[in-house]
Amino acid sequence: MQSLNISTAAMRGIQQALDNTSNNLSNLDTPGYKRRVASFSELLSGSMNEQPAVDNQNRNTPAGLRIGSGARLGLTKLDMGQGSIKQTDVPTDVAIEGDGYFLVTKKIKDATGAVIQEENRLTRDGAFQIEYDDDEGGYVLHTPSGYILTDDNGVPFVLPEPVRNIQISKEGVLNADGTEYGRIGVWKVDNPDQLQQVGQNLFDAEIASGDNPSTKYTNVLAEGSATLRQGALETSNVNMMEEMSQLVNIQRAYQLNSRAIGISDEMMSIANSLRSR
Amino acid sequence: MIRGLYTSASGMLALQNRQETLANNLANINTPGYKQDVGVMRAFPEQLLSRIRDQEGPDVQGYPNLTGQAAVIGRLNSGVYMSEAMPMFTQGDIAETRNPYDVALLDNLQPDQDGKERRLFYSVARLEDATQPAQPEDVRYTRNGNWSVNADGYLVTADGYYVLDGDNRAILVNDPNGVSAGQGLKISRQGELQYEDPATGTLETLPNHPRLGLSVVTDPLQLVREGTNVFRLEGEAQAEALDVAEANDQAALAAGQYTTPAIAGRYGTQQGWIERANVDPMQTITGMMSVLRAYEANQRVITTIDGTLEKAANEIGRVNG
Repeated sequence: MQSLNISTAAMRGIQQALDNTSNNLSNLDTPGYKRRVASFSELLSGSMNEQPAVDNQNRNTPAGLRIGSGARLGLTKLDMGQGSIKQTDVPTDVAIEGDGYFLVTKKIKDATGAVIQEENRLTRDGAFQIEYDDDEGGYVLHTPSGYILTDDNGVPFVLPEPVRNIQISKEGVLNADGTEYGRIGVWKVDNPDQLQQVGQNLFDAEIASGDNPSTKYTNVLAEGSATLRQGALETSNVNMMEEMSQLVNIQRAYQLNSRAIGISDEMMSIANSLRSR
Repeated sequence: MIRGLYTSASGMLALQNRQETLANNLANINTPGYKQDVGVMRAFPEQLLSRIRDQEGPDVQGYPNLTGQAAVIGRLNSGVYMSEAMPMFTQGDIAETRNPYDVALLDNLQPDQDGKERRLFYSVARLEDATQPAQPEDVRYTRNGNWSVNADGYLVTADGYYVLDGDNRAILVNDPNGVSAGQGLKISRQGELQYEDPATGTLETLPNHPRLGLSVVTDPLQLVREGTNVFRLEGEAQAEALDVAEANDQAALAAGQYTTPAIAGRYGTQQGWIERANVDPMQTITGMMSVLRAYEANQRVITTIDGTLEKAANEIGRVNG
């Protein structure tokens, strides 16, 4: 009974789509989160040729009987739609309007405390905090997961004491107490679907330790196709209503396939009771 | 008697195949561009039954005794099988996704001169080297417009087929040494590939790739379903590039063979939307129910015949019953 396997394969895919939807819903309030859209794809079909020779006349389709083997979750695509901008009035909150990502880094150390390499990550999450950092020997802007914001050369911003009056212009120039400390880099990725999502609202930037990001990406703040807004955050682009209708849709598909399994199972039990009366 | 056993068994087997087809339709209820299969049942070839060795029958007074002549009784079908699974190419409904790499295909092409159905398909292919055009035998046809861009910047389907342009070449959306359209790729209603030039803000044609590879397939039932959302041409099946078909259509119009265009203006690609599967869940589930009951009926027939055979084997001629 191939039909059992067909429906089981589909249910596995549907379960994964359900996981994806619930992840979107749970990140409803994550700043800068981009939803993923799951889509299904057909599996291979097999061809059977166990047919009498006379069958080759009066057919609508080429010879052979082709039966598919179900469906799988084909891919989940990032939806790069802009989330809405939420005013927070916190001076270290920055929202990107337009395409692009902040580049944030973290130093990876070995057991002795020596720095092995820098991890480069991309994020849309602009909810930074100011904190003293021992390695940099000054105050840095870091994400909730501890990655430090970098400028347009991929170098972390380091601010001396005391940090007051942070000003970030639309073009990304960072001022503290009237002194300029460089420009924030916002990097455009041509193909965000290929970015590896590493959790914590971050993507792997795939830049070697210490490399300048401009070798791989373009800085959109410099070319003017995106702007920053201080004192605001970009909310996630998850739409509650859309996800809910997707949830209903997926659940119905799940039920239908489980019904199909039930019917196939009943057929097997009928075949089983051929000799029992 | 014994024949009936085999007839019913063939019925059960055919119904199992039909159940597999229905289950596959249901499994793909959320697959973009999926076209549902319809199982076609066919009776085994008929045989003629005759009465033979007539001289052993009663000799009726006044009637000739046709010794050795076989008398035809009638026809007998000895079973059923599922001969084909026919894909149904009706248009599925379309749903908005707002993703630039989702493209729904809508068509309402008129049948050709012989009344054969015509449908529009995207051309895709698996390529060893994406810089080379695809060979005609490698081209596959799909209605699934749910694509993404791979690491090399080419437009691909979810199953790793390259989406082809009008010259059967893979479409380079993000060229590291040239134009990168990225998420700003625009596809017009006619399938033309464009991007917005950041400097001027005008729509420009994608270099080397003016248009998506759309093909008109006449009599699409001649396509072979390969799975993974693609179909293959086989035998006498015909597919022609859309611009060729359009040119022929214009010529036929000019020659006055018919009055309204059969192709021009009867199709469109819709970016940011996908065509959903054309599977009707209600119809499929009720189909499964009737399969189940027919299966059960066949099982009852087998059981009944088995019961009578048992009588013949064990009860007839028993001494001291």
